[in-house]
Formats: sequence, C-alpha cells, structure tokens
Amino acid sequence: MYPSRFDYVKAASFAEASAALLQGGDGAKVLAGGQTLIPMMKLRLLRPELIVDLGGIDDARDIVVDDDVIEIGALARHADIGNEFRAQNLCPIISDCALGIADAQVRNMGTIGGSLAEADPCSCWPALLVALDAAVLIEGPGGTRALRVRDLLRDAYTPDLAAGELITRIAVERAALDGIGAFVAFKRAAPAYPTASVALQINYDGDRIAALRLGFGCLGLTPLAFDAASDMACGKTVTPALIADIAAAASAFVEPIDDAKGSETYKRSLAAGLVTRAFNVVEARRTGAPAGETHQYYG
Amino acid sequence: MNAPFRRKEDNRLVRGRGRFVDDEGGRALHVRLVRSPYAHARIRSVDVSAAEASEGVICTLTGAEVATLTNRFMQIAPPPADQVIDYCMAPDRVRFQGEPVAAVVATSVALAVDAAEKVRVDYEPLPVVVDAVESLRNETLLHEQVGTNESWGSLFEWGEVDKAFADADTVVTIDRLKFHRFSSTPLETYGGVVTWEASGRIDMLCNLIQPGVAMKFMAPALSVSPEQLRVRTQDIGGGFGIKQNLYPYLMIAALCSRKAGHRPIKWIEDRREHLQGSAHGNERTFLDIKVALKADGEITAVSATHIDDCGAYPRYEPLGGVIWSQVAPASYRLRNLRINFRQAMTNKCPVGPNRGFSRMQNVWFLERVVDICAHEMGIAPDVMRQRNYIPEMPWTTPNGCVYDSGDYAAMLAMAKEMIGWDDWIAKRDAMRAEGRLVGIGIGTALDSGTNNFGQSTIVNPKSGLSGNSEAANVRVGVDGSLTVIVGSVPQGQSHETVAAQIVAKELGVPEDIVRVASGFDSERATHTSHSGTYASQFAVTSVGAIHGAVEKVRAELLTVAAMLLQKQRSELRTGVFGGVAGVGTADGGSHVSFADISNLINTKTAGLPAELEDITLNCRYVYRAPFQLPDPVRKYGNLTLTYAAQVHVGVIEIDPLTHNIHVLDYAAVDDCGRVMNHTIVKGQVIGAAAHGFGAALMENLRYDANGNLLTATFSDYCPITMLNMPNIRYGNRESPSPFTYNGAKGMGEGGGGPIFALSSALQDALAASGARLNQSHYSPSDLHAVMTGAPARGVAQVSATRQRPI
Repeated sequence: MYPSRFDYVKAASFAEASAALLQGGDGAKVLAGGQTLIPMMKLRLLRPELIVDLGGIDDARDIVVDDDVIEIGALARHADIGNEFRAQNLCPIISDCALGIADAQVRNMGTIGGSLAEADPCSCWPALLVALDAAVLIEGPGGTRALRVRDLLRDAYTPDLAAGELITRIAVERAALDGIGAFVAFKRAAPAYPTASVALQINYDGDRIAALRLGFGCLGLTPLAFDAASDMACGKTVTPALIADIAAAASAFVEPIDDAKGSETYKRSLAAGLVTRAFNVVEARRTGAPAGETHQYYG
Repeated sequence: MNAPFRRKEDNRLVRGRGRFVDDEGGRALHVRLVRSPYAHARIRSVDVSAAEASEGVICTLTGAEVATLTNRFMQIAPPPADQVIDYCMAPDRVRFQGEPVAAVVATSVALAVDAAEKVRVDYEPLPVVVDAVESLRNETLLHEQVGTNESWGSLFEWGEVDKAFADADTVVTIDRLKFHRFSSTPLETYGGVVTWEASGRIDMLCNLIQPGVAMKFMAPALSVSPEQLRVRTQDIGGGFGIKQNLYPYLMIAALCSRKAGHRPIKWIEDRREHLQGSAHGNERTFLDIKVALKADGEITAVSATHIDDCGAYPRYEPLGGVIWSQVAPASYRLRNLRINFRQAMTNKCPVGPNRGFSRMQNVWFLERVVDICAHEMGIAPDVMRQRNYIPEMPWTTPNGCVYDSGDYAAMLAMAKEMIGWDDWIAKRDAMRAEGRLVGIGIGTALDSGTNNFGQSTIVNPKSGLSGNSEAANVRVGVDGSLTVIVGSVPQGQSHETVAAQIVAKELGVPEDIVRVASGFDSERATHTSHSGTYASQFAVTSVGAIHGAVEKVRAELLTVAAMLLQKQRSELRTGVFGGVAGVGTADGGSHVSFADISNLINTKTAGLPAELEDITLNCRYVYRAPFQLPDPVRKYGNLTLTYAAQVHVGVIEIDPLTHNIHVLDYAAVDDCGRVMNHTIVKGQVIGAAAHGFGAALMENLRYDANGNLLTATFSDYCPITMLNMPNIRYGNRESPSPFTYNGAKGMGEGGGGPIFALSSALQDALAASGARLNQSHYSPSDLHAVMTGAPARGVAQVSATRQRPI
C-alpha cells in the first residue's frame, strides 16, 4: 500500500499544469482530488513518475447557474456541487448524482473534472453528463476548445484529450434540465462502484412528455445515451405500460458485460429495473409523493 | 452484576489512544513479502540480486533458505496428510495465490516495497484445482508425497441410522447444499514486531489470538523450546479467530531478524495481502443428503457426505473435522446421524478458525434440512422446529456432548412475539397477493464455547492436547488497588470491563480501583497452553480463573486483617470502609485498608510474623474445565462446556427491479446464560449479526478456475457497513449454565443466525415459484439466475424429493 516514487508539482493555474504535464510526458498524471488515482497508486497499478496537482487552482471550483446554462468548474467537489443544488432545490438529478457518489470522504475530495477525465464507465458523472449531452471546456497547449462529453468519452478510461490538455469547465444547457429528473443507482455498498446507474430527465407539456433524456452508467464500455427512448415517449403520458415498454427497450439497448458484479443477463434485467425506478422517482417528485432513496445498497 | 457499565477500554480506544502493533517498533527494520501470483506453480528460480542491491535493503530471505533454516510445520492430521510439507515460505512450489516466496528487509517500508518488486521469480504454472469435490478425485495433487488431496476424512455414525430409515414414514433426499467461503474483516490486519535476540530469545509483539497453540507450531519449526519464544500482545483491532494463522508470518520475521543481525523486524500486512493470504473461513459442500421423518415432521435420522475445503495447507485443520460435531444434531433432538466427513485441500488460501468455526457450517446444513423437509411435508417452519427442538436440558447428544441449558422453543416464541409473527404472516400473504416476493425465515444458531481439546484425539489419537484451561492473577497494590492479569487476548471483547466488574463485585469494592493489565505475555504475564481468546470461552475460562484468583486474594486479605484487627476471619469481610477499600467487621467498627495490608506484606516487612510468611497478595489461579478425554473410536464424549443459543427471525422481500434482498423486519434473541454485562452482550449479538448479514448478502471470496482471487480489494469483497445493516430487534433470555460458577456462558459467535434466517426466508419467498435455494450466499445476480432458471454461474439448483421409504 505504498506508491512507487514520484515527483510532485502543485500548479497554480491550468496553464502551469498543462506545461508541467507536457514536460512530464507519458509518466505524468493529474491529481484532481485523487480518489481513484491514489488508491491505484497505492496498489501500484499506476506508477506515475510525476504528479501534477491541480488542488492549488482556486478559481476552478465555482458553480454558476444562469438562465441558459449551468457551468461548473472542473475542480468543484462532488459534495459542494450536490449540496449547492440541493440547497437551491434545483435540478435534483444533479444532486442525486453528486451525493450518491461513494461515501462522504470521497465526495469531500473528489472532483467532477477528475471524474470525467478518468472516463470510468461506472462513474456517476460521466453517465449523467452523457445523458444530458453536456459539454466540457478544455485548455491545453493548442489553446481552448469545447467538446461534447459524448465525444470526450468514446472509450473506457481514455478520454479524448491530447497531451497537456485539461478539462477546465463543465457546461449543461438549462434546456436539457427542463422538467423533472432523477439519477438512480444500485450498488453493493457505499464505497463500491454501482452495478448500474440510470439518469432520467423528463420535460412535460401538461401531463404529456415533451422531451425525455435517458442514459446509463456501468452498462457498456462508455456511458450510454438512449436517445430512441425520447421518440417512444414524446407526446405520451407516463403509464405503467409506457414505463414497461421503455424499460424493455432499455434492457435490449444496453451493452453490459459479465463480471464480478453480475451476469450480462442480470444486468439487462437491472437496467430495466432501474429505468422503472427512475420513472417512479420522477413521478413521485412530480406529484410530491415520497420518492425514496435514489441510491440503493445491498441489504 | 448486570448493570450497564461504561467500558473501561473505550476511553483509550475511542479517542485513538490505543496501542496496536503498528504503533510499535519505531527503530525496527521493515519486511515486505514477495507473493506468488499463481495459485499452483513450481518455482524454477528466485533471483534476489537486484533487490539486494536496491537502496536501503539489509537482506533478503527466500523459501529455499527457509527450507534449510527451519523444519516443516507439524501437522495435526494423522497419516497420510501428516506428510504435508508446509514451511512459512514456499521453497520450491506455491499452492495458493498470495503464498510468500521471498522476503525483503529494508530500512523503511517504502524501500522494502520498491526492492521487493525487483525480486525475479521464475514460475512454471501447474494445473489448478479450486473445487473441493473435484479435488477429491485426485487428478491434480497438491502434495504428491501425501498421495491424496484429502487432508482427513472419517465416518461419523451414531444411533441406529438404518433402522430409523427403515421405520421412517417419509424420506426426503437433497442432492447438494453449499456453504460459501467468506472471512472476517478485522480493522487491523496481521502484524508483528519480531526480534530474534542474540541471547536466543525470540520476542514477538504481535496480534496472535491463540498464542499457546501457535507457539507449539513455531517452536519445533524453529528448533527452539516454546519457552524461548516471548509472545506478547497489546490492543488488537479485531480477530474473529482468523488471526490464529499469523504464525507463519511471525516466523518469517524472526528469520529475517536473525539474518539482519538480531535487529527488530516489523511486518504489517496490507489489506490486499490480508484478503488474499491471511485466512479464510471454511467452505463446505453437502452431498447425498437423506432425511428420515415421521409423518408429523419429527426428523429421526440424517445421512450425508460433508466435503470441507481447507485450502492449500491444513494449518489449524483438520481440527474443523471434529469441531463441527460439538453441534452434531444442532438444536434438534435427532438421535441417528451418519455423516461421511471429508476434507479436501485446494489451491486457495488456507482456512483459519473463522467466527463460528466449523459449527456454523453444520448448523446451517441442518437448518436447511429442517426448512426443506418442512416445505416438502407441508409443515410451517416454526411448527417443524417446535416438533424437533431439544425438549429438555441438560441434553446429551447422540455423540455424548452435553448441552447445558436453554429453551429453544421459548426463544422462538419470544422472537416470534417480538417480530409480530402472526401479523407478518398475514402481511406476507397480502403482499404476495399483490405479486410481491416476501418471505419469513427462522435461524436457530448454537454457539458452543470452551472446547475440550481432547476432541483433537478423534482426528489424531497422537494429539498432545486435551482439556482446556486459563490462568489469572490478582494482586493487591501498595495503594490498595487491585491489578488483574489474565491469559486472554482481547480483540475488542471488553475483557477489561468484565474482569474489573467480576473482581469489584466479588470483593465489594468500586470498579475504578481495579486495573486490568490486558494483553498476553508468555514470559511476564500469566497463562497456560490453552490461553487465548477463541471459541467463546472468556466468560467461562477467564472469568473462572479470575474468580479463583480473587478467592485466593480474599483469603489472604482476611488472614492478614484477622491478625491485625485481632478478629476471627469469619467475622471479617472485604468491602469499603470509611470510603476506602479494605477488610473489616460487618458493622464496620473495626477495619484495615487494602493499602495498609499490602504495605505490611510488600513494604514494611521487618518483623513480619511467621504465620504470614506465605502471604503474597499476588495470587494465581488456573481454571481447568471439567473434561475427560472423548472416546476416539466411537467419536463420543463431551466436546464443549457451554452452549449459548440464538433464535433469529427475519422477514425479507426480493426487489423485483434489482433482485436485492431487503430485510423488512428482524429479531434476534440470544441466550448466553447469566449475563454479566448486557451492553457488551448486546454489542456482541449485533456485531455477530452484522457478520452474518455480510456473509449472506455481500461477502463471498470468489476464485476463478485458475485460482485467481476475484475479490482481493474492498471494492470487490465489499464488507458490510452500517449502510447495509437492517434494524435489529434484540431480545435476551437467561438460562444459567449449571457448569460454570456464575451461570454465564461464552458467546459472540452467533454470526450464523442471519445466514440461517435469510436462507430460510429466501426459500419461503420463492416457495411458490418452485425455485429451490441451496447456497448460503446469493448476490442479486445469483438470485436472478435462480429465479429465471438461467444457467447460473456456479449456482446449482437443489432438487429435493420426497418419497416413501422402500
């Protein structure tokens, strides 16, 4: 449980961090909370030669909510994001996601940008931000560029970032968050990665569904957005039959693998189950009924 | 006696002021082990040259060196498995993933870890066997010189089994049941600070939990006398039995110390090492089960083959091969039993005596038998139990064990009342009508304590161990305080609190003048060969020893006081006089303090009268449990002194969306005889239940076919936490043991309760579906497979059939 030796740089700005990363080459790794990196280093599954710590960049933790877009600094911590949205009683899908990540210790250190850049298909932020079709701002040696999260996360554990590039901000269009949403997950215990997670955001026109976004975590090599669900749902009211149809379609759509957390068949069943639960939570929120826990553990 | 009592230990433990192994050894060198990535391989070569050249490295040690420096460990098994060659480090062949093959000693842990990565080991992989049933086919041998993978096997037969089957109204057969592999999760892993001193003494500061037996393994292997080993412990962060298997690692550290010039060596196991290589609980498969029953559900005979899996090296096994028979008929009056018990070695981590050691597996087996038979006969599970529970106490089992006290039917009635059984039955049926999968289950657990080591002769007639004992010492200090030393090795069981409580109550003095110097020290504290904390025996052996030592001290105090006060001893008693602990007359008119008495004996000794010259005020007493040797041929005799019991009742619902098992309601009733401290007993009951919930719902040590442990980190093994725990309604009954001085029984191993109750409730929930459950652990994925009839991953469906006997 002791990492191999490494050099350490604490950057004061993204530009400084980017330069240090370029200089460090393949052996350099970014520390942006460290809740995955540090355990991996302690197990010596990762042996970076240089750690570039972003913890000194103080102006990248802000959360800005305006009429068109929500912007979150890449170094905002899970707990800060979750607590902010919960306090404002705004976008419960975001606070569900943030406050369901691992345990309190992890949420107090881990950052949204770190989670995205790690590109773990089981992590919660990637699943949510793919479902909401969010974008990231990237700063690097070639300047600044914007990228859809869906394009950032085209493969497991390998974000589409060039050498020296860093995610600096995350942007979600308010339009994607219209209506009511929920992020639900099922996991063995608080610190474990989910067996599966589901993000569901529904915009209503009266009783009818005007728009629907549905996405999955841990059910494929990348987070999956199930855009076809919108076509199935739009113009309809939420009925048990509609939920069952979308759940069945979701079950066929996902691409789970057989692993220690469950068989492929089981995970397809779980995908349908979590879609159903997500609909139930959203409906409960719409009617003001008690919604229950969004993150369920074994037992 | 049983008033709530603030734990003496808590002030230091809760504030982070305890002293654990890892807090010690400030100037020690550090050792890092190189462990095998293969489950079974020949070691072609080990090259330590690059490691030895690495920064900070003092020396290295290889398995080949160990084979020249030490003797192989003694084996408990008789021939042929006595020929198992087991060293503390593998010389030429590894047999489980994580087995140590080399050690690197350096000036810091980080440097030792760096250098250990430079050790080059050339392995030639061998075929792997991970399944015990397959292992017994002997197609791949782990220990060729043994000629079989069977570490031990024997037929246990009591009563008239054939007659019972011939007379049966019904015979139920069950093809297979499986108790899975899990372990405990002590917060503190294995550790030691070991110095092989130039004088020859080997000092081991460590967290062993049964030092006397471990010393018997280590001393012959090191070619030293057990008296040359100084084994000592301080605070221990949980043990649950499995820390017994620490001794091979202490030996590695000892050899490293000698090679490093007698410098102290510190070794602290990391969590991955712990999960992979410390000790696991016994896995057991039950085959060819036949049950003879009367028409009313009375079980008259059971026959089955039990195949236990002890991993790569037996170590403390095959003792488990007889330990289960402490509870051969579980809580039932069953008289006729035929169990073909076989234990197999496999390419997996060696097992250790994990909480509930070997009895839990057997009780689970019989609890499943009772539930499956009840189902086949159409009898409610509570009624089935009432018809089969042992009706009176004390009860001699078919194999000669004497259950001391308890009323299982009354415990079940209490648990049913606590949970609202009738209401839950109605609610369950109403929920089922809505399509919900709800089940109610019962688990009856037995926690046999204070074992008779004489049962080891049933495994091997040449075993040198029998009986059971513990030592305690009580001393009166010059300030009038009392210091208690006992051979137990507390790991969180509140021994300091209970020991102080016993002494204070016996002498009628306040608890705060009683100091308990806890921690084992084979050289400087009191102990016997059986000393330690295992097998639920503190409440009997340690408390018995403390009680005996207190009586001796009391006698001495009265003798001295009688002389000083010019009274008869019969006129005097100990207690508080004028606010000070002392000895005085009943009316308090004449008294002398403990401090004055102690100073007379220890400080102002000139002119001490001759009649006081034998007085020490430092009294040792050895408690010896009243055991005889069992008959090894009939496998008959009293194997344990006390039998605590638990009845658990649980209501579960299977979530159709996730296949998660939700506990809707749960009650646990415990009876451990006279309760010495209700707070501590309740804590042990809840803690053991947590262990059981974890085992039933979350914790499963899974290996792939190549012997790779798939659950080697906490994110894969997922030990239970508060967030997974249901609320537990706790109840207690007190059936004093007639065999202990104060009626108390050992307890704390009731972790089986939830495993039994949840297995039972799951079966009830799925009864209508026709799905049959045969495992002690179901993940949601496994449950989904059973419920959908999908080809399960390692989950075989049980088939139970009922027939008239031929």
